[in-house]
Amino acid sequence: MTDGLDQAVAQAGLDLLAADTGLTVHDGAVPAGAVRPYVLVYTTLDRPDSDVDLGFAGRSNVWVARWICHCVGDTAKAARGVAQRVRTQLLDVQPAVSGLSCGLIREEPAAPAGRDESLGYPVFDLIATYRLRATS
Amino acid sequence: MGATVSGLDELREDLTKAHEEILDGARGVVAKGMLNIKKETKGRWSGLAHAPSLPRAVTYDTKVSGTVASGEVGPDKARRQGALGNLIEYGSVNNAPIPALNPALDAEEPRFTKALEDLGGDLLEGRAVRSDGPIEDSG
Repeated sequence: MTDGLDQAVAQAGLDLLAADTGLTVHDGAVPAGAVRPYVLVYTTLDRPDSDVDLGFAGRSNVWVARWICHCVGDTAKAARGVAQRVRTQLLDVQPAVSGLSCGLIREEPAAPAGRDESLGYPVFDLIATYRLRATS
Repeated sequence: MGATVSGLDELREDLTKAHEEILDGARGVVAKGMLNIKKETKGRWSGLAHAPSLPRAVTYDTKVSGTVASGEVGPDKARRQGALGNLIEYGSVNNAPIPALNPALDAEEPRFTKALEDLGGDLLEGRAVRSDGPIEDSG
């Protein structure tokens, strides 16, 4: 039996992105034939074992989620356009996750749009990372 | 009606001494933080089949400039597979990330904050400043 909180936290960010119907969101992998521009989201979840908010019993009640967003377009401008939509949906938003007290989603330093030819054709990929800290 | 204050000379001495020692002390705290982040990052990146040398590429350095003590930690691109650091940390459209630096930074933040608070207390109360991490990365 699980509490479902990991999925709920991850989905909080993905749902915020999906709420922009003009933004194509791929979770974890880009499907074959995907049309650009899009954002590919990798979600990570950490439970720090050292934090000022750990309880007296030392239980892991701090959650740190990151959404690593690859904002992909055919040009640098297109990639920046995706990043702008992502930023609009995530930055400074306080998601609601039942069972957790969430802070505001913050942006971590981003890299400029870079040319990526690993797909066999050139695309521009701008990586923007957003972080959420929550406590239970 | 009047007031009498005592101990100001001793306080002035402690504050003067603190002023002289604070930057070296802060640099030691920063160095220890950098070392902790380096170790945590190496641990998270150890055992990667396609980047076995990446952990050894992680280095740090510290410096004092004016009134600022700072440090920088991460994969050195001049070292073998160091250039893979960004790809491994953030992933690509083809590869999922394996974050290490950011989680290590998160883990270090409360320890770093406490160490700075302890440094301040030591300096203001005239206690000897503890020596923390090696200022220079031994590799």
